[in-house]
Amino acid sequence: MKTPILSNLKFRTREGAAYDIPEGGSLGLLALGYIGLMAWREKRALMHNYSPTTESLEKRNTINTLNFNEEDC
Amino acid sequence: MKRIAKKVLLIGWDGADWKFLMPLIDKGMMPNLQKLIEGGSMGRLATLDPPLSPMLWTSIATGKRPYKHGIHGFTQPGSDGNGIHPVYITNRKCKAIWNILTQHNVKSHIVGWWPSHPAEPINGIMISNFFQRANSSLHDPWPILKGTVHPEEKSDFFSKLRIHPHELTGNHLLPFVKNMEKIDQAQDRRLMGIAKIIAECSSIHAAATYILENEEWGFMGVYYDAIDHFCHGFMKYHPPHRQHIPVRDYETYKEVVNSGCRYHDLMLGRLMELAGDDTTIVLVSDHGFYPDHNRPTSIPKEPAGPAIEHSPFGIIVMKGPGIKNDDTIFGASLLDITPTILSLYGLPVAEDMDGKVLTNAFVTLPEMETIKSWEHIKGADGSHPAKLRFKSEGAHAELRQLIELGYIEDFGKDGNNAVKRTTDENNFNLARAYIDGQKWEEGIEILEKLHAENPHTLRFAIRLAHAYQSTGRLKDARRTVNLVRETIDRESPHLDVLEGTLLLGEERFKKALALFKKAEQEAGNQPCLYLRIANAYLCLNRLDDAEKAVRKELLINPEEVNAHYALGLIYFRQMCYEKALHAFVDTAGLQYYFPAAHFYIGESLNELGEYDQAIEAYEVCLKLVPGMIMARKRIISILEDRIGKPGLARKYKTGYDEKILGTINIVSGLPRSGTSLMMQMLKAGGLALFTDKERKADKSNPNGYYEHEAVKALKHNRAFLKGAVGKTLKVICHLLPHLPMNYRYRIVFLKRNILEVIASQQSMLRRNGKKTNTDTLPLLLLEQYEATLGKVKSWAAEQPNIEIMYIDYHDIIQAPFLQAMLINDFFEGTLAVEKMARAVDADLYRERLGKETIR
Repeated sequence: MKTPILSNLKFRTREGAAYDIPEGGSLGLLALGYIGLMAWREKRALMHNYSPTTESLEKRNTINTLNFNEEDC
Repeated sequence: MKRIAKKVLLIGWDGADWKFLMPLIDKGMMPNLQKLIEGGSMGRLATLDPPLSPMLWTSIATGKRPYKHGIHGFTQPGSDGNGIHPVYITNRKCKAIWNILTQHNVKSHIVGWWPSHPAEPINGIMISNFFQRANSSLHDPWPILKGTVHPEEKSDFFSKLRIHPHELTGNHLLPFVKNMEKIDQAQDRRLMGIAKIIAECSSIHAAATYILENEEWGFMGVYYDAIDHFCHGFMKYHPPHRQHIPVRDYETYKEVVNSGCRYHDLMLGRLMELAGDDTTIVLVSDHGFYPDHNRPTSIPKEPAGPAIEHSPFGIIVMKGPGIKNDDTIFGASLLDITPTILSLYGLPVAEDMDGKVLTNAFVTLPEMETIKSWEHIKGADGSHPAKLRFKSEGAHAELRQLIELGYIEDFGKDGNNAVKRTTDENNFNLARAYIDGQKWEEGIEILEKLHAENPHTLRFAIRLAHAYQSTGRLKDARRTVNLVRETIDRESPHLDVLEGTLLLGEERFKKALALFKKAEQEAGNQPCLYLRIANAYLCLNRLDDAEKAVRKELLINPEEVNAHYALGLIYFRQMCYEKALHAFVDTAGLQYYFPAAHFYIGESLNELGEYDQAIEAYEVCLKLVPGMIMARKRIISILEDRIGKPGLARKYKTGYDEKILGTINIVSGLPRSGTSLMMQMLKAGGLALFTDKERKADKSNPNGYYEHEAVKALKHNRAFLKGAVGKTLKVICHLLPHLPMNYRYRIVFLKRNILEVIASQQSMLRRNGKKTNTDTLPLLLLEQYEATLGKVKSWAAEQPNIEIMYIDYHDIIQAPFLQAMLINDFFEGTLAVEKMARAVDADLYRERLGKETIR
């Protein structure tokens, strides 16, 4: 499978302005599909140097006013 | 056949309904959907009954009804008889569109279709509906289940495109819930519910966009269930606010459904961008969802109860080469999607498919060929081997999801009960599917078994009684209703409505009206209750009251097509043709595939002297139902008698024979005019009779009645006539005008002195222990019978599909051989004359007054 290299990818708004990927992601990025998702994850990893599959997200979630628990899954 | 589409992208939005999408489009909040609509054709997509998504999406993918495709519910008992599991693709019994396309080397990819687990080995990628559900916490491993991705070696890559709900942040949720910081998440888990829906549909979208951008493709199908899930969870908070909804909840969650739709518009925009302009995009939903006053205030506590929130029309938009721009698709059903996609690829439609090609979406009519079936076409089609017994150990998350949504019961660890209840539910769904497909006998057989085993389950009994009623088995319907009344010792407005409808069929209109009013008092408005009340008033010829009732229905449900149609009929009967015309136009505007509405538009215009326009309306009617002979007849009449174009009329006349479904022999006359005798004669002569032997011989008719119970409900149900083709059926003269036009009838009509008929009827009543007045001549009855006979005679003379022979009962008794010869001539010499004559028993001629001719 081809794994896109996203580091050099530039995201722009419809108006053409450069779009700085927020650490908390956005619906717009998810709507872009896999490329938006991967770019967001890459940005997150760059900012915090963590892998989302291993690191606990409790802290981050609290920051974003979302509380999750296991029974939700 | 010419291929029209280079590539087709089929997008499924479960539960999408124009009623909540249109206001957003009008405000410019769904620009991508708007672009799709403006560049293509759109319409409503009729759903099927029962409106349960796995059944419906399989019908979309196969063009077949559930009794052909084999998916009958959300869950299935395990193959080892222990426990239940979510329905698998291996339960499907026929090819899906992607199997047919695989056979024709169209590279096909499928993402998330319901049901599609385990993924089929098609010639592209298939990602099953088990892909997106998280079954553990973010801290735990989230392995991808075996069978989720085909080819399996791509599983690892695609597993990384899944988004866990815990991965989402406030940024994703803020567009849905503005004041989420005020929510006490320990108590209120709805925010988490929203996160799950977003994560799941985003996972599907990530996989779909990857495939579109990186894989070669010819067909792609992607299914999003999120709109349906947002609606089931949050449509109750959608504006306008309803009294029973707490204001705080309303204010918190009122934007969830709209935001969900807007998120889908964003995703749609991306799909359109990746697909490119040369792709034909087909966007569909399997059913709609009530966003307005039709939202139920509570959900029935029964399996699949939430489906009460579904509305009967989903959406369809098609855009691409060869598809009309900014146009409307009329009369579409979800069964039409696969036939239409096949024709886009220049492939024939199978005759065993239940749908049709949506030709009115195409700029030019596509070339259309048919084959008997795709099922027997050999070649690798990417389906699983027939004997595959798939057992997934990891279906827990899927099952949990269905329980949470309220579609299935939580049986806990009671495996036996789960299997029994699941089997019953699936059989109930299958019965409903049969009935929806007009396969009444098959549906009734299943319902009878379910009712016998579960006499306390009201919905089984109600469906059964309704099915009996719809097939003219009024006695069975009555027996079932009475039994339910005895078994269930509580008031049920549903049962009252059912019984009221039954009473209408039994022509006990006043009692029906009383029961409907009782149901109204007990439960307030129920779906179409005022329409039923209006129907009762119509039968009682209380047209003003009927109009008032219809207007009440329209206040509650302004888009109820049958209410507009009923209003049209009321005005038509009041001879207010202008008003009737408007009501019928409204009906057709709401539901174009409503042949009777177009017919009555024609009738109204005809009455208003607008003959050219009337012909146009009848033409539409014929286009929708080519066999509708009455519309053809009206056109001929206008062309010949009104506008003097007999030459043009000729082409309509030549079409008759092609539309006739078969010939039925009828024996008719007034009750006690000798019709049973004639049935005996014809039987002796060698004709097959269509009877059900329900009515037994008695002293009044020692040789039997030779009747069929279904005839009594001819006015309401004619489906049984299919079985009478080539046979002989007894129909009393009052019911003859209700015979449909798509059969040819050879009628032997018995004449008998009306006074003798009345005397014979009175004797019969006395023999049955009923009181009659023998002292005076029932003048009113005499006049009515004379009028009826006159009407029938002039009606019969006008019908192009009827041959009628009048024969006198008195002559049969006097000269049976001679009359048998005449009857034999009428039947083109096919009968055994002597045997017919011998069947006449003159001793049964008991009320003798002499011969009388019909006037």
